[in-house]
Amino acid sequence: MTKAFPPELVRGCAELVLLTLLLSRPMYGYEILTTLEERGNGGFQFKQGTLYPLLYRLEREGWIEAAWVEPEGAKRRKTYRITRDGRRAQRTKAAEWARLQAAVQALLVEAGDA
Amino acid sequence: MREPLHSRASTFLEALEAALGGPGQRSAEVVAEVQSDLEAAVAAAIARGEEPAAAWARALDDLGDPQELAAAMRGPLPPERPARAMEHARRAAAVLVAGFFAYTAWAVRSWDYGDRLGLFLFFGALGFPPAVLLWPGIVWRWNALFSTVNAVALVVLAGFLVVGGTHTVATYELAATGADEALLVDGEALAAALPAETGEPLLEREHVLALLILAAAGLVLSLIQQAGQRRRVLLIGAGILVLIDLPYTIEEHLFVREARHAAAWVEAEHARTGSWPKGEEFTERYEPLWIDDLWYSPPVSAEDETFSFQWPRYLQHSAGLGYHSDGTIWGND
Repeated sequence: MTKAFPPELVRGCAELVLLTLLLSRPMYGYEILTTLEERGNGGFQFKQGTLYPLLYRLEREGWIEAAWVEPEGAKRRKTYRITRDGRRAQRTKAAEWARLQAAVQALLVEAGDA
Repeated sequence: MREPLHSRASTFLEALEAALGGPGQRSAEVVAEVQSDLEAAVAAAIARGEEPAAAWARALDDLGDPQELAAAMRGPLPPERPARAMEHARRAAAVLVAGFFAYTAWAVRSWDYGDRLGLFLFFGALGFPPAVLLWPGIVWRWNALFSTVNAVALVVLAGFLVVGGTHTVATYELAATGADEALLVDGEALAAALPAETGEPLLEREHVLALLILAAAGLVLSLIQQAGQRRRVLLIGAGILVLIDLPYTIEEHLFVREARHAAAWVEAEHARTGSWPKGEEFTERYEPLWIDDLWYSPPVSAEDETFSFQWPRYLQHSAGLGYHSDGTIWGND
Protein backbone atom coordinates (compact mmCIF):
# COMPACT_ATOMS: atom_id res chain seq x y z
CA MET A 1 0.00 0.00 0.00
CA THR A 2 1.40 3.36 -1.10
CA LYS A 3 1.63 6.23 1.33
CA ALA A 4 -1.06 8.84 0.56
CA PHE A 5 0.05 11.44 -2.00
CA PRO A 6 0.43 14.99 -0.64
CA PRO A 7 -2.95 16.78 -0.90
CA GLU A 8 -1.52 19.69 -2.94
CA LEU A 9 -0.32 17.27 -5.61
CA VAL A 10 -3.68 15.49 -5.71
CA ARG A 11 -5.53 18.81 -5.89
CA GLY A 12 -3.59 19.75 -9.02
CA CYS A 13 -4.68 16.66 -10.90
CA ALA A 14 -8.00 15.85 -9.19
CA GLU A 15 -10.18 16.82 -12.16
CA LEU A 16 -8.06 14.75 -14.54
CA VAL A 17 -8.12 11.79 -12.16
CA LEU A 18 -11.91 11.85 -11.77
CA LEU A 19 -12.59 12.34 -15.47
CA THR A 20 -10.21 9.51 -16.33
CA LEU A 21 -11.85 7.25 -13.79
CA LEU A 22 -15.31 7.93 -15.20
CA LEU A 23 -14.13 7.10 -18.73
CA SER A 24 -14.44 3.42 -17.86
CA ARG A 25 -18.03 3.49 -16.53
CA PRO A 26 -20.55 5.61 -14.61
CA MET A 27 -19.99 5.54 -10.84
CA TYR A 28 -21.59 6.87 -7.68
CA GLY A 29 -19.75 8.89 -5.03
CA TYR A 30 -18.60 6.17 -2.66
CA GLU A 31 -17.72 3.90 -5.58
CA ILE A 32 -15.48 6.65 -6.97
CA LEU A 33 -13.66 6.89 -3.64
CA THR A 34 -13.07 3.15 -3.28
CA THR A 35 -12.08 2.69 -6.92
CA LEU A 36 -9.61 5.54 -6.65
CA GLU A 37 -8.13 4.03 -3.54
CA GLU A 38 -7.73 0.66 -5.27
CA ARG A 39 -6.32 2.04 -8.51
CA GLY A 40 -3.93 4.40 -6.74
CA ASN A 41 -2.85 1.58 -4.42
CA GLY A 42 -3.93 3.72 -1.47
CA GLY A 43 -2.12 6.81 -2.77
CA PHE A 44 -5.32 8.69 -3.62
CA GLN A 45 -7.08 9.30 -0.35
CA PHE A 46 -9.97 11.57 -1.22
CA LYS A 47 -12.45 12.21 1.53
CA GLN A 48 -16.16 12.39 0.86
CA GLY A 49 -16.17 16.03 1.91
CA THR A 50 -13.59 16.86 -0.78
CA LEU A 51 -15.24 14.75 -3.44
CA TYR A 52 -18.68 16.42 -3.65
CA PRO A 53 -17.56 19.98 -4.42
CA LEU A 54 -15.22 18.55 -7.04
CA LEU A 55 -17.99 16.48 -8.63
CA TYR A 56 -20.35 19.47 -8.65
CA ARG A 57 -17.68 21.60 -10.27
CA LEU A 58 -17.23 19.02 -13.03
CA GLU A 59 -21.03 18.84 -13.39
CA ARG A 60 -21.27 22.62 -13.62
CA GLU A 61 -18.66 22.62 -16.39
CA GLY A 62 -20.80 20.12 -18.26
CA TRP A 63 -18.03 17.49 -18.16
CA ILE A 64 -20.06 14.96 -16.17
CA GLU A 65 -23.79 14.33 -15.77
CA ALA A 66 -25.57 13.03 -12.71
CA ALA A 67 -28.65 10.83 -12.58
CA TRP A 68 -30.38 8.89 -9.84
CA VAL A 69 -30.43 5.19 -10.71
CA GLU A 70 -31.93 2.29 -8.83
CA PRO A 71 -30.34 -0.99 -9.86
CA GLU A 72 -32.40 -4.11 -9.18
CA GLY A 73 -31.89 -5.23 -5.62
CA ALA A 74 -29.67 -2.29 -4.76
CA LYS A 75 -30.24 1.10 -3.22
CA ARG A 76 -31.06 4.21 -5.24
CA ARG A 77 -27.82 6.06 -5.95
CA LYS A 78 -26.72 9.21 -7.66
CA THR A 79 -24.46 8.12 -10.48
CA TYR A 80 -22.09 10.26 -12.50
CA ARG A 81 -21.15 9.68 -16.11
CA ILE A 82 -18.72 11.53 -18.33
CA THR A 83 -20.11 13.64 -21.19
CA ARG A 84 -18.70 14.31 -24.65
CA ASP A 85 -17.35 17.65 -23.44
CA GLY A 86 -15.88 15.81 -20.47
CA ARG A 87 -14.03 13.39 -22.75
CA ARG A 88 -12.62 16.33 -24.64
CA ALA A 89 -11.58 18.04 -21.38
CA GLN A 90 -10.01 14.79 -20.19
CA ARG A 91 -7.90 14.54 -23.35
CA THR A 92 -6.74 18.14 -22.98
CA LYS A 93 -5.90 17.71 -19.32
CA ALA A 94 -4.13 14.41 -19.98
CA ALA A 95 -1.96 16.08 -22.63
CA GLU A 96 -1.15 18.95 -20.24
CA TRP A 97 -0.31 16.48 -17.52
CA ALA A 98 2.02 14.55 -19.84
CA ARG A 99 3.79 17.80 -20.76
CA LEU A 100 4.18 18.77 -17.12
CA GLN A 101 5.41 15.32 -16.20
CA ALA A 102 7.97 15.35 -19.01
CA ALA A 103 9.19 18.80 -18.03
CA VAL A 104 9.58 17.87 -14.36
CA GLN A 105 11.28 14.61 -15.32
CA ALA A 106 13.72 16.47 -17.56
CA LEU A 107 14.58 18.81 -14.70
CA LEU A 108 15.11 15.89 -12.35
CA VAL A 109 17.31 14.06 -14.84
CA GLU A 110 19.36 17.17 -15.36
CA ALA A 111 19.79 17.54 -11.60
CA GLY A 112 20.74 13.88 -11.34
CA ASP A 113 17.77 13.00 -9.15
CA ALA A 114 16.23 10.49 -11.52
CA MET B 1 -28.15 -5.39 5.20
CA ARG B 2 -28.92 -1.73 5.50
CA GLU B 3 -27.45 -0.15 8.61
CA PRO B 4 -29.94 2.09 10.48
CA LEU B 5 -28.94 5.72 10.36
CA HIS B 6 -26.81 6.63 13.36
CA SER B 7 -28.16 9.51 15.48
CA ARG B 8 -24.94 11.47 14.89
CA ALA B 9 -25.41 11.00 11.17
CA SER B 10 -29.00 12.31 11.38
CA THR B 11 -27.77 15.39 13.21
CA PHE B 12 -25.03 15.87 10.59
CA LEU B 13 -27.47 15.58 7.68
CA GLU B 14 -29.95 17.98 9.29
CA ALA B 15 -27.15 20.49 9.86
CA LEU B 16 -25.99 20.05 6.27
CA GLU B 17 -29.49 20.67 4.91
CA ALA B 18 -29.88 23.78 7.05
CA ALA B 19 -26.46 25.08 5.95
CA LEU B 20 -27.42 24.52 2.31
CA GLY B 21 -30.34 26.90 2.74
CA GLY B 22 -33.02 24.77 4.37
CA PRO B 23 -35.54 22.40 2.80
CA GLY B 24 -35.72 22.50 -0.97
CA GLN B 25 -35.38 20.11 -3.87
CA ARG B 26 -31.70 20.85 -4.45
CA SER B 27 -30.58 20.58 -0.81
CA ALA B 28 -32.74 17.48 -0.31
CA GLU B 29 -31.02 15.90 -3.31
CA VAL B 30 -27.56 16.74 -1.93
CA VAL B 31 -28.46 15.36 1.50
CA ALA B 32 -29.88 12.19 -0.08
CA GLU B 33 -26.65 11.71 -2.04
CA VAL B 34 -24.45 12.24 1.03
CA GLN B 35 -26.63 9.91 3.07
CA SER B 36 -26.55 7.22 0.39
CA ASP B 37 -22.74 7.32 0.15
CA LEU B 38 -22.42 7.49 3.93
CA GLU B 39 -24.49 4.35 4.31
CA ALA B 40 -22.47 2.60 1.61
CA ALA B 41 -19.19 3.53 3.36
CA VAL B 42 -20.48 2.30 6.74
CA ALA B 43 -21.84 -0.94 5.26
CA ALA B 44 -18.46 -1.61 3.61
CA ALA B 45 -16.58 -0.89 6.85
CA ILE B 46 -18.87 -3.21 8.85
CA ALA B 47 -18.41 -5.90 6.19
CA ARG B 48 -14.65 -5.56 6.74
CA GLY B 49 -15.26 -6.25 10.44
CA GLU B 50 -15.38 -2.74 11.85
CA GLU B 51 -17.71 -1.92 14.77
CA PRO B 52 -20.83 0.01 13.58
CA ALA B 53 -20.26 2.93 15.96
CA ALA B 54 -16.62 3.25 14.86
CA ALA B 55 -17.62 2.93 11.20
CA TRP B 56 -20.19 5.76 11.50
CA ALA B 57 -17.71 7.93 13.39
CA ARG B 58 -15.00 7.47 10.74
CA ALA B 59 -17.37 8.05 7.84
CA LEU B 60 -18.68 11.24 9.45
CA ASP B 61 -15.15 12.42 10.18
CA ASP B 62 -14.36 12.01 6.47
CA LEU B 63 -17.19 14.41 5.67
CA GLY B 64 -15.85 17.07 8.03
CA ASP B 65 -17.90 19.93 9.39
CA PRO B 66 -21.41 20.25 7.81
CA GLN B 67 -21.13 24.05 7.60
CA GLU B 68 -17.77 23.86 5.81
CA LEU B 69 -19.01 21.12 3.50
CA ALA B 70 -22.11 23.16 2.62
CA ALA B 71 -19.97 26.25 1.98
CA ALA B 72 -17.68 24.26 -0.32
CA MET B 73 -20.67 22.77 -2.15
CA ARG B 74 -22.75 25.92 -2.58
CA GLY B 75 -20.40 27.55 -5.10
CA PRO B 76 -20.20 24.81 -7.69
CA LEU B 77 -23.64 23.29 -7.03
CA PRO B 78 -25.57 23.21 -10.33
CA PRO B 79 -29.06 24.74 -10.31
CA GLU B 80 -32.25 22.95 -9.50
CA ARG B 81 -33.97 21.85 -12.68
CA PRO B 82 -37.35 23.48 -13.23
CA ALA B 83 -40.47 21.33 -13.59
CA ARG B 84 -40.53 19.50 -16.92
CA ALA B 85 -43.47 21.49 -18.29
CA MET B 86 -41.76 24.75 -17.37
CA GLU B 87 -38.52 23.54 -18.95
CA HIS B 88 -40.32 22.78 -22.23
CA ALA B 89 -42.16 26.11 -22.11
CA ARG B 90 -38.91 28.02 -21.60
CA ARG B 91 -37.21 26.15 -24.44
CA ALA B 92 -40.14 26.88 -26.76
CA ALA B 93 -40.08 30.57 -25.77
CA ALA B 94 -36.31 30.75 -26.39
CA VAL B 95 -36.72 29.19 -29.84
CA LEU B 96 -39.56 31.62 -30.64
CA VAL B 97 -37.49 34.63 -29.58
CA ALA B 98 -34.44 33.42 -31.54
CA GLY B 99 -36.71 32.67 -34.52
CA PHE B 100 -38.24 36.14 -34.41
CA PHE B 101 -34.86 37.84 -34.45
CA ALA B 102 -33.56 35.47 -37.12
CA TYR B 103 -36.60 36.22 -39.32
CA THR B 104 -36.18 39.96 -38.82
CA ALA B 105 -32.48 39.70 -39.67
CA TRP B 106 -33.45 37.68 -42.77
CA ALA B 107 -35.90 40.37 -43.90
CA VAL B 108 -33.56 43.28 -43.18
CA ARG B 109 -30.57 41.56 -44.81
CA SER B 110 -32.36 41.84 -48.16
CA TRP B 111 -32.44 45.65 -48.00
CA ASP B 112 -28.76 46.11 -48.71
CA TYR B 113 -26.23 44.65 -51.05
CA GLY B 114 -23.45 42.77 -49.27
CA ASP B 115 -23.60 44.85 -46.06
CA ARG B 116 -24.03 42.36 -43.27
CA LEU B 117 -21.57 42.79 -40.39
CA GLY B 118 -23.28 45.70 -38.60
CA LEU B 119 -26.71 44.21 -39.20
CA PHE B 120 -25.77 40.81 -37.85
CA LEU B 121 -23.97 42.30 -34.87
CA PHE B 122 -27.09 44.32 -34.09
CA PHE B 123 -29.65 41.53 -34.44
CA GLY B 124 -27.33 38.93 -32.92
CA ALA B 125 -26.68 41.13 -29.87
CA LEU B 126 -30.36 42.04 -29.58
CA GLY B 127 -31.75 38.51 -29.73
CA PHE B 128 -28.95 36.78 -27.84
CA PRO B 129 -29.76 37.86 -24.22
CA PRO B 130 -33.49 36.98 -24.15
CA ALA B 131 -32.97 33.65 -25.95
CA VAL B 132 -30.12 32.59 -23.64
CA LEU B 133 -31.87 33.76 -20.46
CA LEU B 134 -35.03 31.90 -21.42
CA TRP B 135 -33.31 28.59 -22.19
CA PRO B 136 -33.17 26.63 -18.91
CA GLY B 137 -29.88 25.61 -17.33
CA ILE B 138 -27.59 28.03 -19.17
CA VAL B 139 -27.51 31.08 -16.91
CA TRP B 140 -28.17 30.39 -13.27
CA ARG B 141 -25.87 32.45 -11.13
CA TRP B 142 -25.09 36.13 -11.05
CA ASN B 143 -21.33 36.45 -11.05
CA ALA B 144 -21.31 40.21 -10.60
CA LEU B 145 -17.63 41.06 -10.72
CA PHE B 146 -16.52 38.70 -13.46
CA SER B 147 -19.52 39.34 -15.71
CA THR B 148 -19.71 43.10 -15.28
CA VAL B 149 -15.99 43.63 -15.83
CA ASN B 150 -16.19 41.62 -19.06
CA ALA B 151 -19.22 43.53 -20.31
CA VAL B 152 -17.71 46.93 -19.47
CA ALA B 153 -14.43 45.97 -21.17
CA LEU B 154 -16.36 44.92 -24.28
CA VAL B 155 -18.26 48.21 -24.41
CA VAL B 156 -15.16 50.32 -23.87
CA LEU B 157 -13.38 48.44 -26.65
CA ALA B 158 -16.35 48.78 -28.99
CA GLY B 159 -16.65 52.47 -28.06
CA PHE B 160 -13.02 53.07 -29.01
CA LEU B 161 -13.60 51.31 -32.31
CA VAL B 162 -16.68 53.43 -33.04
CA VAL B 163 -14.96 56.69 -32.11
CA GLY B 164 -11.76 55.63 -33.91
CA GLY B 165 -13.78 54.87 -37.01
CA THR B 166 -15.57 58.25 -37.04
CA HIS B 167 -15.22 59.73 -40.50
CA THR B 168 -13.61 63.19 -40.57
CA VAL B 169 -12.60 64.96 -43.76
CA ALA B 170 -10.28 67.88 -44.31
CA THR B 171 -10.13 69.31 -47.83
CA TYR B 172 -7.13 71.27 -49.15
CA GLU B 173 -6.85 73.02 -52.43
CA LEU B 174 -3.49 72.90 -54.08
CA ALA B 175 -2.60 75.88 -56.18
CA ALA B 176 -0.45 75.36 -59.24
CA THR B 177 2.26 77.29 -57.49
CA GLY B 178 3.17 77.21 -53.85
CA ALA B 179 2.14 73.57 -53.44
CA ASP B 180 4.77 73.06 -50.77
CA GLU B 181 3.13 75.66 -48.52
CA ALA B 182 -0.31 74.22 -49.14
CA LEU B 183 0.84 70.80 -48.06
CA LEU B 184 1.73 72.12 -44.62
CA VAL B 185 -0.92 71.10 -42.14
CA ASP B 186 -3.53 73.78 -41.82
CA GLY B 187 -4.35 73.71 -38.12
CA GLU B 188 -7.57 75.69 -38.44
CA ALA B 189 -8.96 73.57 -41.25
CA LEU B 190 -8.09 70.41 -39.38
CA ALA B 191 -9.68 71.66 -36.16
CA ALA B 192 -12.83 72.59 -38.06
CA ALA B 193 -13.04 69.08 -39.46
CA LEU B 194 -12.99 67.45 -36.05
CA PRO B 195 -16.44 66.60 -34.64
CA ALA B 196 -15.70 68.18 -31.26
CA GLU B 197 -15.03 71.51 -32.87
CA THR B 198 -18.20 71.41 -34.92
CA GLY B 199 -20.31 70.62 -31.86
CA GLU B 200 -21.09 67.07 -32.97
CA PRO B 201 -20.95 64.44 -30.18
CA LEU B 202 -18.30 61.76 -30.60
CA LEU B 203 -20.91 59.06 -30.04
CA GLU B 204 -24.29 59.55 -31.60
CA ARG B 205 -27.46 58.25 -30.00
CA GLU B 206 -27.61 55.13 -32.17
CA HIS B 207 -23.98 54.35 -31.31
CA VAL B 208 -24.79 54.56 -27.60
CA LEU B 209 -27.82 52.33 -28.10
CA ALA B 210 -25.75 49.81 -30.08
CA LEU B 211 -23.10 49.80 -27.34
CA LEU B 212 -25.72 49.16 -24.67
CA ILE B 213 -27.14 46.26 -26.68
CA LEU B 214 -23.64 44.90 -27.14
CA ALA B 215 -23.01 45.28 -23.40
CA ALA B 216 -26.16 43.30 -22.59
CA ALA B 217 -25.06 40.52 -24.96
CA GLY B 218 -21.54 40.50 -23.48
CA LEU B 219 -22.93 40.40 -19.96
CA VAL B 220 -25.21 37.44 -20.72
CA LEU B 221 -22.40 35.66 -22.56
CA SER B 222 -20.12 35.88 -19.53
CA LEU B 223 -22.97 34.74 -17.27
CA ILE B 224 -23.07 31.38 -19.05
CA GLN B 225 -21.51 29.09 -16.47
CA GLN B 226 -20.13 26.33 -18.66
CA ALA B 227 -17.37 27.01 -21.15
CA GLY B 228 -18.76 24.23 -23.35
CA GLN B 229 -22.23 25.79 -23.36
CA ARG B 230 -20.76 29.21 -24.12
CA ARG B 231 -18.96 27.74 -27.13
CA ARG B 232 -22.09 25.92 -28.28
CA VAL B 233 -24.33 28.98 -27.92
CA LEU B 234 -21.88 31.11 -29.91
CA LEU B 235 -21.58 28.42 -32.59
CA ILE B 236 -25.36 28.08 -32.89
CA GLY B 237 -25.75 31.88 -33.08
CA ALA B 238 -23.03 32.14 -35.73
CA GLY B 239 -24.56 29.17 -37.57
CA ILE B 240 -27.97 30.88 -37.73
CA LEU B 241 -26.38 34.06 -39.10
CA VAL B 242 -24.45 32.07 -41.71
CA LEU B 243 -27.69 30.31 -42.72
CA ILE B 244 -29.34 33.70 -43.13
CA ASP B 245 -26.45 35.20 -45.04
CA LEU B 246 -25.42 32.37 -47.32
CA PRO B 247 -28.51 32.34 -49.60
CA TYR B 248 -28.31 36.14 -50.02
CA THR B 249 -24.60 35.96 -50.77
CA ILE B 250 -25.21 33.32 -53.43
CA GLU B 251 -28.10 35.35 -54.84
CA GLU B 252 -25.95 38.49 -55.00
CA HIS B 253 -23.15 36.58 -56.69
CA LEU B 254 -25.61 35.35 -59.34
CA PHE B 255 -27.05 38.86 -59.69
CA VAL B 256 -23.62 40.39 -60.31
CA ARG B 257 -22.89 37.78 -62.96
CA GLU B 258 -26.27 38.27 -64.64
CA ALA B 259 -26.12 42.08 -64.34
CA ARG B 260 -22.69 42.27 -65.97
CA HIS B 261 -23.95 40.06 -68.73
CA ALA B 262 -27.00 42.31 -69.22
CA ALA B 263 -24.84 45.46 -69.16
CA ALA B 264 -22.51 43.96 -71.77
CA TRP B 265 -25.52 43.23 -73.96
CA VAL B 266 -26.78 46.83 -73.62
CA GLU B 267 -23.31 48.17 -74.57
CA ALA B 268 -23.07 45.74 -77.48
CA GLU B 269 -26.51 46.72 -78.78
CA HIS B 270 -25.52 50.37 -78.56
CA ALA B 271 -22.32 49.71 -80.48
CA ARG B 272 -24.16 47.63 -83.08
CA THR B 273 -27.21 49.83 -83.73
CA GLY B 274 -25.93 53.20 -82.58
CA SER B 275 -28.85 53.64 -80.19
CA TRP B 276 -29.49 52.46 -76.67
CA PRO B 277 -31.96 49.57 -76.27
CA LYS B 278 -35.40 50.63 -75.11
CA GLY B 279 -37.05 49.29 -71.99
CA GLU B 280 -39.23 46.82 -73.91
CA GLU B 281 -36.21 45.39 -75.74
CA PHE B 282 -34.35 44.95 -72.49
CA THR B 283 -37.28 43.34 -70.67
CA GLU B 284 -38.09 41.16 -73.65
CA ARG B 285 -34.60 39.75 -73.50
CA TYR B 286 -34.25 39.36 -69.74
CA GLU B 287 -37.67 39.11 -68.17
CA PRO B 288 -38.59 35.68 -69.52
CA LEU B 289 -35.50 34.12 -68.00
CA TRP B 290 -35.92 34.04 -64.26
CA ILE B 291 -36.58 37.65 -63.48
CA ASP B 292 -39.98 39.29 -63.36
CA ASP B 293 -40.93 42.85 -62.57
CA LEU B 294 -37.73 44.13 -64.12
CA TRP B 295 -37.04 47.88 -64.14
CA TYR B 296 -34.68 49.35 -66.75
CA SER B 297 -33.67 52.97 -67.16
CA PRO B 298 -31.87 53.74 -70.46
CA PRO B 299 -29.81 56.94 -70.97
CA VAL B 300 -32.19 59.92 -70.89
CA SER B 301 -30.42 62.15 -73.42
CA ALA B 302 -27.98 61.98 -76.28
CA GLU B 303 -25.14 63.15 -74.04
CA ASP B 304 -26.04 60.69 -71.32
CA GLU B 305 -24.34 57.33 -71.64
CA THR B 306 -25.40 55.85 -68.34
CA PHE B 307 -28.09 53.31 -67.75
CA SER B 308 -29.29 51.27 -64.84
CA PHE B 309 -31.62 48.41 -64.09
CA GLN B 310 -33.09 46.72 -61.09
CA TRP B 311 -35.05 43.59 -60.35
CA PRO B 312 -36.61 42.09 -57.21
CA ARG B 313 -34.70 39.66 -55.08
CA TYR B 314 -35.71 36.08 -55.66
CA LEU B 315 -35.46 35.39 -51.90
CA GLN B 316 -37.38 38.49 -50.79
CA HIS B 317 -39.67 39.99 -53.42
CA SER B 318 -40.25 43.20 -51.47
CA ALA B 319 -36.56 44.10 -51.90
CA GLY B 320 -34.51 44.49 -55.04
CA LEU B 321 -31.00 44.61 -56.43
CA GLY B 322 -29.84 47.32 -58.78
CA TYR B 323 -26.98 47.84 -61.22
CA HIS B 324 -25.64 51.07 -62.65
CA SER B 325 -23.48 51.22 -65.76
CA ASP B 326 -20.69 52.85 -63.71
CA GLY B 327 -20.41 49.48 -61.92
CA THR B 328 -22.34 50.42 -58.77
CA ILE B 329 -24.51 47.67 -57.31
CA TRP B 330 -27.03 48.41 -54.60
CA GLY B 331 -29.82 46.91 -52.57
CA ASN B 332 -33.24 48.46 -52.45
CA ASP B 333 -35.95 47.98 -49.85
